[in-house]
Amino acid sequence: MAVGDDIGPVWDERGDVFEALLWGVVFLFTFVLFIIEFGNGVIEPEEEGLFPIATIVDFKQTMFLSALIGGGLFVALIVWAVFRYSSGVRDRAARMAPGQGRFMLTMFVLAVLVIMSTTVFTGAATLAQTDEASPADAAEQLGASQQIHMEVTASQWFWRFDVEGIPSTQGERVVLPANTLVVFETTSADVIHSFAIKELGITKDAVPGQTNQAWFMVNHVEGETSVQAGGESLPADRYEVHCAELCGKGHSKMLASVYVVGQEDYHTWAEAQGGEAALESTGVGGGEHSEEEEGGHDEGGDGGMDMDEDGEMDMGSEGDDH
Amino acid sequence: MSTETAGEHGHDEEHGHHGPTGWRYWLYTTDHKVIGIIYLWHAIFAFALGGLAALIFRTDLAVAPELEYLSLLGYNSLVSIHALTMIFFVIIPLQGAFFNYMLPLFLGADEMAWPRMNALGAWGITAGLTVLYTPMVGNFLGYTGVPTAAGWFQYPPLNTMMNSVGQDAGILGVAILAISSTGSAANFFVTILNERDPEMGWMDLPPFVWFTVFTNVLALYSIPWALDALGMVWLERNLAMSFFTARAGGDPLLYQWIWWTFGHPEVYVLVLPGMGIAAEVISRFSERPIYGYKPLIASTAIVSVASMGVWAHHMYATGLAASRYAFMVFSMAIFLGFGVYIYSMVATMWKGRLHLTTPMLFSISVVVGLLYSGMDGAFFGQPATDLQFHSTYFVVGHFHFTIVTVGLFGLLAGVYYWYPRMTGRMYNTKLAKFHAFTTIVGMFGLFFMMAMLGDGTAPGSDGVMMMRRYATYVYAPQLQLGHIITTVFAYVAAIGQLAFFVNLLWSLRAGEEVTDPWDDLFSGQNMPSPEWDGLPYKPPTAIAVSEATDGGEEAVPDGGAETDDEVDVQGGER
Repeated sequence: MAVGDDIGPVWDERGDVFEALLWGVVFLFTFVLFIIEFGNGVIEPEEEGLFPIATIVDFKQTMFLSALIGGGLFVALIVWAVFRYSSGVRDRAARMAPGQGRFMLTMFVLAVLVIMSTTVFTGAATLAQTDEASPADAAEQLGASQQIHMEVTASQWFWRFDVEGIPSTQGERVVLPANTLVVFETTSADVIHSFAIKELGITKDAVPGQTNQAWFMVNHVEGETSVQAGGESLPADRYEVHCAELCGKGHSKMLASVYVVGQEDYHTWAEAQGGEAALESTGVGGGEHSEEEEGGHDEGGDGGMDMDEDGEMDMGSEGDDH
Repeated sequence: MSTETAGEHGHDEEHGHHGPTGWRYWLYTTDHKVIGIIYLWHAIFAFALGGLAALIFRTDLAVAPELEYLSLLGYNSLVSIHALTMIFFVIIPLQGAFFNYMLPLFLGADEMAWPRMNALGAWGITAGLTVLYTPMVGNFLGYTGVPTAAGWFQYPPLNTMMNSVGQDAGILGVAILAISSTGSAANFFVTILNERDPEMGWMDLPPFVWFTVFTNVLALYSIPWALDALGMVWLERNLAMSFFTARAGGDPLLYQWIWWTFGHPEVYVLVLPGMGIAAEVISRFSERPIYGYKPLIASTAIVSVASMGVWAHHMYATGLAASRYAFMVFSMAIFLGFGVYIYSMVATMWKGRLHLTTPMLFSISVVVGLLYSGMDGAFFGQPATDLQFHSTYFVVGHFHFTIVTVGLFGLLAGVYYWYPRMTGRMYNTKLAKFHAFTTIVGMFGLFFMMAMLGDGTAPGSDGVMMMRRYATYVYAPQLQLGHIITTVFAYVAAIGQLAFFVNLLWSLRAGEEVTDPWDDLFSGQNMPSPEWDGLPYKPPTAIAVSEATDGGEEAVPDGGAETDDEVDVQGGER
């Protein structure tokens, strides 16, 4: 480019305009990718009845949305600058006055601070309701009246699940009840593994010499698949278990399945295994053993079929009072 | 390579020195320029090696859900080698090339503070790279097991349990590089402190020098932690000490605390030089002084300090409890720093006159890449969302955006900006733009696809997330379509890198001889840069530039000619 072309005609002999357009399109490509990447997060369907993921999803979608708006705006500005302010289509740069745009910069910093602190507070609240919540807190917040304990032991390269009440250790597949808070403890026999059910929003490292506790809860069974128990076929949902920490050769094949069946079906299944369904009351809401209690039924409304029946009975008795 | 050898040598002879010739010239040198070129070629060579490793396993991922060509351990090994090469032997040497070559020019110094330590740093790269790759050669020949295969952060007890010479070699290779780059980081920092031209105040420093300061302070702080962690693993492996084995009283998590104390500042060591070069280039190629110089420096300082306090966000799933709240706050604070950088870059470009040369294209990509990596990264700063995305391809996409589209793209901008200064020859600009085109489209597409695979939105994935470091994806064969698209983007990028290597090597002999290829572009802007124009140097402030060009967009068209005259006077001063 020759010296002193600054005040020349816009079209110059080297086809600079075409070049500016080409590179504008290249950066437009990054902008479109940006919109798709973060836009997909926004329109992700809600994970109803699966915890803790359902609690996380709202927060996650909000973050995707603010990334889409805030980040997308800036990528759009960059694309625009490449189209509009390229040397091919512009003969000179605008002067930058001393102290110019100081107000804008201040506003920008303030906006970032506001978004940051909002994210911090919402994120803290979400964390407090999910991974940071003790099983007791989780039971209360989800209205789970029953819980079951499970021990997860990882070794190279398989999982071992010991569910309370079931005499046999379960490997590749473990059956658990719905509408029940599953409280689990992870540990490892050799190297560091990580117990992950991404569909439920769970990742918990299994560290040798240490146990980590977490929980999850599935509130409905779609019946996509089934579990066989003593000749009976029980409708179940399947959730994939991954190892989420590189643990050596077999890392990518260290898989397992969690099958969730309805509470009634779980009793059937447990008996077929020669054990019993060791569901404990969490002391929250009404359980099977707290039918005499009065207040708790409505809160525990999502606790299972028994609960629904209780609810109807209550409504009936209220009708009698009138 | 002989071309610049002759040039440098001739220069020496003018001063009456009779230095060694041939290979001795390279081996014995303590000249910062020659050492910078040694760094450069090391980085380019390692870049080809690391890229090839990535292409091999990426291809295998696309071919079938099960591995076709590699063994499971071989896959892990290639992934580890790719990461270690790219992080320690590409980005760090490539930035070292510019620190070495450019710092004395920027500062008006005749040499680095400690030239011999500088030479040691250069040959440390050779030693480290050799040690890292020897087991790979050994493995091909059938003498040794696979090279290091525990990932780049190689957590024990996995690392201590792997019975292979490659594992020790991986530790030692990185340790050698860590030792040499600790020395070099001290050297760079002290050079800026002590060798600066007396006329040059702290607030006169070009942004690249400021980013170099922060980079090397962070390197000095963080790299010893890596040596601690790796040293302890080495002792445990070879001298049966027990730091990390639970059943012998050790704590497996101890390693993670030490490693990530290194690991997070290290990421900023990788990206800050690239960002500094991008700031330099965007300002000059937009014909505008950097917008908000002081806020930019302040925000980089914030980022550097904050980066030392966020390491545990790599460990949210390890069983950490309430301390996660604190690490979340620190992690979020980083947005402020990088936000100001992005704002400053966009404001610099805004209403400027952008010369879309290759360095400028890469520099603009740095800003876009920083946006991507920041927005993706927010999900890992937040423990709640981190636990969903932890160890999926979303992480892989995130850190590739960070390290490649920010760190590496900035350094590539530097290569294209300073290659003529370093070699005295101009590269082929058409080939360079082809490289920029394929790299920007290929790399952004590649990492975008990784992110999509990771959050379960890739085409055909049906909501299933691709897990990180999985040699196979037998659990979800429908992910293959996503992997094929990813691999296609990888090949687009690879073709571009081929053009890059060819261009650099070919131009070394056949490129047009130039002293300052950007001279025409920048004449009359009163925006000098010391490495091209020499000292004395006054930073291009808004006042200085408006005095020189007097007007800009607001000026009446008739005033244009006068502006030009004035410009020539300014240009003559140089």
